[in-house]
Amino acid sequence: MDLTPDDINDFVAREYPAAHGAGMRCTEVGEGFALAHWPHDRSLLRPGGLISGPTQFTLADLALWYLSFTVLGLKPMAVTSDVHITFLRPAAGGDLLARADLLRAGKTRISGRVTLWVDGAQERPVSHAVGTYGVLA
Amino acid sequence: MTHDEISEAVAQITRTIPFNQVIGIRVERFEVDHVQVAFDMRPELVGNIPRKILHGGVISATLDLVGGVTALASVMRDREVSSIEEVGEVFSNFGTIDLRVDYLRPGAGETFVATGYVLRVGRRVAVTRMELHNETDVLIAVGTGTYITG
Repeated sequence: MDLTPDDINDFVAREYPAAHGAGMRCTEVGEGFALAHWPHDRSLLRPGGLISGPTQFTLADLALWYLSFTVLGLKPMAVTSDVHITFLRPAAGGDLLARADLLRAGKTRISGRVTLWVDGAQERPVSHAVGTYGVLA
Repeated sequence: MTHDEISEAVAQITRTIPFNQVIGIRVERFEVDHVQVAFDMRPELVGNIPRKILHGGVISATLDLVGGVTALASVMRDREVSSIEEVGEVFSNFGTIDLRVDYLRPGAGETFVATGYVLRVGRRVAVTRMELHNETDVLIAVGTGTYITG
């Protein structure tokens, strides 16, 4: 697969500037997986200094979108059909990373699993998500 | 009890649960970081007769069980027990809070293996990830389970 993180980030910046503007980026991509990165931003922390649930969900969803590119190529019209997230422990103190791994790529649905952790603590995931993207076109 | 004795006790307790007998589930591996159960295809477990595939309820029930046993394996690591009754008492305090299942492919096959992995075990709540494969290693379904552990 020739797809690179730069290809994905350029594509998202062009097709969905809001997601790109939030600072989230693809930092690694390969056969059946994609890694998404959120740079720590104090202005987006919830009370207690924690990375909020919506921030984690957004990064998980974005990682799944990146994952869809590994199956479809850079096609914009794969959309979230379903994401279920389980928050495992408080997330604080650094950048957030989300790795999406492919579970199944069908003709109309792409399912993946996402593990999220704070940079430097991959062995202590902060949340875990499972989701499906529907292929519209 | 030694780990092997606890493992055998869990297998025995699991066998005695009536619903598990209906499915025919057997515990094949009981480690803190890896639990495996298996069952064989039988006519009673079919949900789609023309295609001869598993009923979704069989899949979700099996994933629920392997998630619970996975949580039990982690909890038992820190407990001192001396009898199968004590193991049963620990397990009887477990309950499923949330179960999420993604059905990825039809449940076709002769033998099915469900594996469980711990995502997190806290003082009161455990979260596990589960997978169901058939004998040719086709991934049929995945699940995420949350359990109260006492």
